[in-house]
Amino acid sequence: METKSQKNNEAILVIEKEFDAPVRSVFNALSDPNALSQWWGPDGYRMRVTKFDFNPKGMCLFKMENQEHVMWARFIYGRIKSPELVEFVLSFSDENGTITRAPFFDNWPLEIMNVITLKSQNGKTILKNSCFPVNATAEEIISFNHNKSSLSGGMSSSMEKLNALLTA
Amino acid sequence: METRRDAFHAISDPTRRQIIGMIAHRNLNLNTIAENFDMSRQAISLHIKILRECGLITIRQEGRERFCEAKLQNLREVSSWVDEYKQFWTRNFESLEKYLKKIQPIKKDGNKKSKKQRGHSRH
Repeated sequence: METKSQKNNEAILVIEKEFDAPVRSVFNALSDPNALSQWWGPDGYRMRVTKFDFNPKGMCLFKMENQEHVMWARFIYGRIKSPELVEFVLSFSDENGTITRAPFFDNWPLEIMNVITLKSQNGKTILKNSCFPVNATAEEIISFNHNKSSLSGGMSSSMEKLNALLTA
Repeated sequence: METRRDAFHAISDPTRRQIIGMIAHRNLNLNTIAENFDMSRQAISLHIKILRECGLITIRQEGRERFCEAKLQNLREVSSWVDEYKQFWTRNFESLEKYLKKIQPIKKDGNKKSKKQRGHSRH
């Protein structure tokens, strides 16, 4: 069984925030395309969802635009467990949902996994997003290794150390 | 789809991230690296090959041994992505918070306790 801790060990970036709303509302904000388009996206961009299949392997395709720019991006959903887990891989794409490079950044992963967990606490909701770049092709090549790693402990911590080293 | 051989590809695998972490501070030979993992030396070699193709390590032959050396400057693109992505989500969270406030019916806290007290005891 794939455990949550395994997923978290892969994370390069973990962001957490408490929302003063019940878990149901937060989950709905993630799973309803109309809700999603009211908050998702960079500042000043309007989001319009053109394709929506909220199921594992399903796609959410959307357009983001302001007065000068138009960008397309997509989610491919992974595991979904209402109302506590939504996984999706985020990529920039064209209007057909084919992956493209990031429009503004030279160095941007083609695919970014987001593992979003929601936890209820005193009527509030703690949202945690564990993010890391993925590459399906690479994963296929080396998938035979995946279950064998014994050093499950310090993965993200080694990355943190590296980041500290780089920013020093 | 193309497979990019860049720093993101390099760190998209947890084993590779560990390898980079191990050699960040000192150069290690391949056997020493492999000893730290519960997987075959061949599998570790493959990861090292990918790391080299992604430009994150160089391999130096010293006598009969091959030493891996980290090229940390190429990891900087990763840390700048992490910063950007973190900012993106911070802004997302702010607008999600606004959205949730907007749809939330106004209610006051403090009713929970009295509700509980009103409930029937099951002892």
